Parts: sequence; structure tokens; C-alpha cells
Amino acid sequence: MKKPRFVPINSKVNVIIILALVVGIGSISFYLTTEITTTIDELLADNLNQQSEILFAAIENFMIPGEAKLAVNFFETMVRSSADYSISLFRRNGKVAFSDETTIKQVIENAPAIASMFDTMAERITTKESVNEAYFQTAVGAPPLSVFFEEKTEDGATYFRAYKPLINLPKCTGCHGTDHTVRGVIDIRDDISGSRRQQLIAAYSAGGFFVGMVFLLAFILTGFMRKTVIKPIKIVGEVCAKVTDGQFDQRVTIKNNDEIGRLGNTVNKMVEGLHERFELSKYVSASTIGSLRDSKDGQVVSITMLFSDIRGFTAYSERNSPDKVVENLNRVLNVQTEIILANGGDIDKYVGDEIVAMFTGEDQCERACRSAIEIQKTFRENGGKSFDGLRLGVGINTGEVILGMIGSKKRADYTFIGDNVNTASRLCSAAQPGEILIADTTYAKTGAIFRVDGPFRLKAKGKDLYVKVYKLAGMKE
Amino acid sequence: MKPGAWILLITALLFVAGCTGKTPANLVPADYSLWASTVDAPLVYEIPGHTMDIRKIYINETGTRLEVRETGGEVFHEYPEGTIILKENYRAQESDRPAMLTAMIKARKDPRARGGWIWVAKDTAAGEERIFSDEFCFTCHQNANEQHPYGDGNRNGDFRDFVFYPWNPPDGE
Repeated sequence: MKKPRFVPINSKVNVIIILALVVGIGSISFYLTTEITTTIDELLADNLNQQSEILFAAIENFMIPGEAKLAVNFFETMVRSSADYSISLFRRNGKVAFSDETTIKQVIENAPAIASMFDTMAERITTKESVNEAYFQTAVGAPPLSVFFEEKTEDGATYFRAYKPLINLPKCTGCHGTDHTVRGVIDIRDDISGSRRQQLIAAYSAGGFFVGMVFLLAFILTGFMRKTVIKPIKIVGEVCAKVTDGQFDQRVTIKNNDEIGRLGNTVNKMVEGLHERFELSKYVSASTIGSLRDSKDGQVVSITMLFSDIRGFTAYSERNSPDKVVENLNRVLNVQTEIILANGGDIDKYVGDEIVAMFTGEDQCERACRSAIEIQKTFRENGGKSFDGLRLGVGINTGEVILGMIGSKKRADYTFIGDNVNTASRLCSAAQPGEILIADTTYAKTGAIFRVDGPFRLKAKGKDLYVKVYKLAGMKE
Repeated sequence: MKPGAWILLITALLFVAGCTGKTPANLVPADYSLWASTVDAPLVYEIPGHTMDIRKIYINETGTRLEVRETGGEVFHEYPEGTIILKENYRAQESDRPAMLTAMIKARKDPRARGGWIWVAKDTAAGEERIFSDEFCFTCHQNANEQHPYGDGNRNGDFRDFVFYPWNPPDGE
């Protein structure tokens, strides 16, 4: 499986913080800006609608037979009232109302009785207002609907415009006829360029403020996260890495009194525990540690056992001071231990001046024999002076033993027992100083590699039968 | 699928469901032809909004419990909640089926109501109903509350609750 690419937690935290800020503050800013703009538009629409309602009511009331002049004057005034605000009235065909006498003629036609009430119109609306055809058709359509829309002119001005249909009410039909539903359209146009500009400025300001806030908050939050989380975690990681390299004196120094601080304390306790276990492992065989790790029960296995014992050590210890005895004994045991470990063996135990070692796995016999040869060679160097003249006897046997955790609940060893163990011990006892005796089972696996003398018959203690043994002389050329 | 993805999916579905909106309610009853009529004969004259359509007007039983009261010398008509006044609109005299049904439904607190009435039109061919919450129907029917050219013309300018042809119980009731 492909290993995921390493991404520093610092980068992840930065990305999350910036994303959260952009989404959070951004959505709020966008929502508020949109809401404000929508509210302004709705207010404008409401305002124009109210104005159109008032106009509608006004028109209804001053449309008195023969008094169209009132309406003309009213719209003349309204059209000229302001440069950025205008009110117009259109006929349903899109033509400006009161621009000619078409309506008067229709009224006279529909109600000849009131013809004499009309005067010639002295003034007429002469503006050239035009309609937005699509919206206008909605206003005069079936059903007629009020329309509010925004319009941009070529000179860049923005207008908010309302088309309100002027319904041909029942009371109007007497003069205006019944063949149409809409008499015209009231058009109110309000220049909102300034308002739009302000909205734009507000939107840009909100955007700028938003960007500034994102950077500021990102800076603050990132710094906070770095100081309170990332940096302490890096410290913990560095300590763990050094402990992995065997530097057990390393400790996490985090002063935070929070979860990270507790993590640091826990890691420190863990390092202390590891250090203790590491030191203890020096006094326990590798097989014992392996057994504890794997929780193995007793089992029958084939191993090669190496027993090594100092000849005449009792007399030596009586001749020399205890300090010297311990010093030399430790040197002897240490040298042998190094050689055995170097050849893949495991020290099972030290019994006084005796070493009990075991070899497992492939070529276990060869490695055991090689260890014994190297040990005797070392002790022969300098005429045996290096070790105060001490000499060793070594016995090696290969065979099945019972391997398991043996002892009490309070104190136990992972060791091996069985007749083959006794045989190995007997061979060690029988070996003369500087000699290596190997059993025939070991010889059977190593005869092609090592030179031996023998076989000899050995009557070992506690054994009724003779044991066939060989003296290991060295490597074959 | 991860829990987060499920939450996202359910939220999206709820959002979409919320956006689809509700199908308009069926406001115009099918059995209106069994109701009483507010006019003695079909209306055949032209009026704005209904043009030359021939019109028959019905009122449900609730509407016949119209309250008429006089306050300060002015007369007020008030139709009870749930009143439905329905107008059949025939395109031609010989049509056996109205092209459109237009109805006013008394529902004072309904946000779609104007003047206390919901104004609704049903296209009988398509079977679709449309509610008019803007001024179209409402503005025209406002004239019913003052003198107008239809029916008895409301010569006294009574408040007729937006109804041009108010319910008059048949003789003897």
C-alpha cells in the first residue's frame, strides 16, 4: 500500500484555519451584504409602490369628466419635479398620455352627453419618455401586473423603475368604455446611481474588511496553535525520536498545564519506564525477553547447548583476594559472552564461574562450535596470561529439550531442561582445561566443517551407557 | 459512505425539498354548481377584466349567512369566514363548459388575501389555479363598495365587502 505523503500538521492547521475563516466570515459578509442590498431594493420597491398607489388614487379622483387638464398639469409638474426622479403616464399602447387628444375623442364618443364639458387642451405633455417594452407588456398583459426593475442608461446612470397598471375600473367605464382592462401604466423612475454607488462602496469595504480580518485572525490563530499545540507536539516527537536512538536521558519540557502538558508528562514517565526496562534487559536473556513478548508456553525444541566452566576456579578463588577473583571472573565471563553473542547465541544463565548458553535456528551447531573455538583461542593467547592463567573446559550437545518459563510466580527464568541438558553439562565437566568436547549429535551436523579427534567413549556421571564424544580441534583447512 | 457525507447528503436533500415549494391548494370546489346563485340570469354585458365572457355567479352556503349592519348611518356588508363566491366565465353563449372560474374566498388572516378575500382564477382546461395577490382583482372590486354601474349600482354607497352582486335571499326566506 502506498504510504501517504507527509504533510506537516502546521500546514494542515493553517489550511483549516484559513478555510474556516474564509467560509465563516465570508459567508457572513456575503449574507449581510446581500441582505442589505436586497433590503434597500425592497425598500425602494415598497417606496415606489406606495407612490404609485397614491398616484393611482389621485388619478382616480381627479379624473372628473371634463377636467383632464388637472391630470395634464399634475403630470407636467411631476415630470419636471426633479432631474433624478420622474413620474409619467402611458397609454396602454405605450404612447405618452395627454400627448394628443385621442383619449378625449374616445371619451366624447363613449359619452356624447358630456362632450360640451371638454375644452381644447391648451397644454399637452411633450416629453419623449419611452417604455421598456418587455416590462411594459407585463404591466398591460392579462392579468396586468405591477413591475419593478432596474435599468441602466447609456450615460451610466442606474434607475429603479416601477410600472403600475392603471386598471379600467367599473366607475371609469362610463367615459372610457368597457373594451379594455388596462387604461394605461403609471411609470415612476428613480435615479439610484448614488445608492448603488454606496452599496458598491459598502460591498468593497466589507470585502476589504473581510480580507483583512481573515489575515489578522489567521495570523493570531496560527500563532496560537503553533505555540500551544504544534510546538509542544514537535518537542514530544523530537524526544521520542532521540529515545528511539537510545538517548534515555531526554525529557519533554512543556510548561503548559493542559492536555499537551499532560501528554508531555506521560511521555516522560514512559521514557523513564523504557529506560528501566532497557537496563533490566541486560540481566535477562534475550530468549526470556522474547518469551515475555510472545507469551510462549513450555515447548519441546531442538537446540545446541554450550557449557563453559573455569578449571580449578575453587582453588583459584581461595588463593586470591575476593576483589581480584570477582574482577577476573567478570573478565572471563564478559569475553565469553561477547563471543557467544557475536555468534548468534544467547546467554541462558551464569552459574558461578559457569556459562550456560544456547543456540537456536539454522547452523546452530556450527555457531556453537565456532564460539567454543574462539573462546579457547582467546584464552590461549599470551600463554594464558591475559586471564591470570585461568583455563576453560567447554562441552557442547545438540538435542531436544523442554523450553519454557520455569520458576515461581515471583521469580522465574526462561530456560531449558531435559536429559540433553545434563549431557551437555557432563561434557563440560569432562573437558580438560583448554578442551572442547562435543556430542556425536553435534558432530553429525559439523563434521564437514571442523576437525575433531575421536570418537571417544565417555562414561558420564549418572549415565548407565557411554556417550560418544569428539574433541573439537579447530576449523578444517 | 462516511457519516459526514451522509449528513451533507441529507442536508442537501432537505434544502432541495425546501426549495421546491408547495403545490397550490385546490381552493375552488368541484360541487359549486349545487350552490345558490346571486344573480337571476347570466350576465352578458362587457366589463373590463372579463371582457365579453358570459358570467354566472354562485355563492356557497356559508356566504348566504351574510351579515348586514348599520353603523352611524352607513351600511356594512360582512360575509362570514369561508364564504366562496364563484363566477363561471363562458366564452360564448352556446358553451357547455366555462373557460375559467374566478372565485373570491373569505379568509381574513390569509397572507395571500387582499381586502379579506383570496382572489383566485382556475383555468378549467388546464385545471390550474392561480391566486392574485396584487391589485388586479382587488382594485376593480373595490368599486363594489361605492356607486358602480353594475346590478343595483349601490346607489347609497354601502360597504358591500367587495361584492358587486350581494346575496339577496329569495322571496319568502
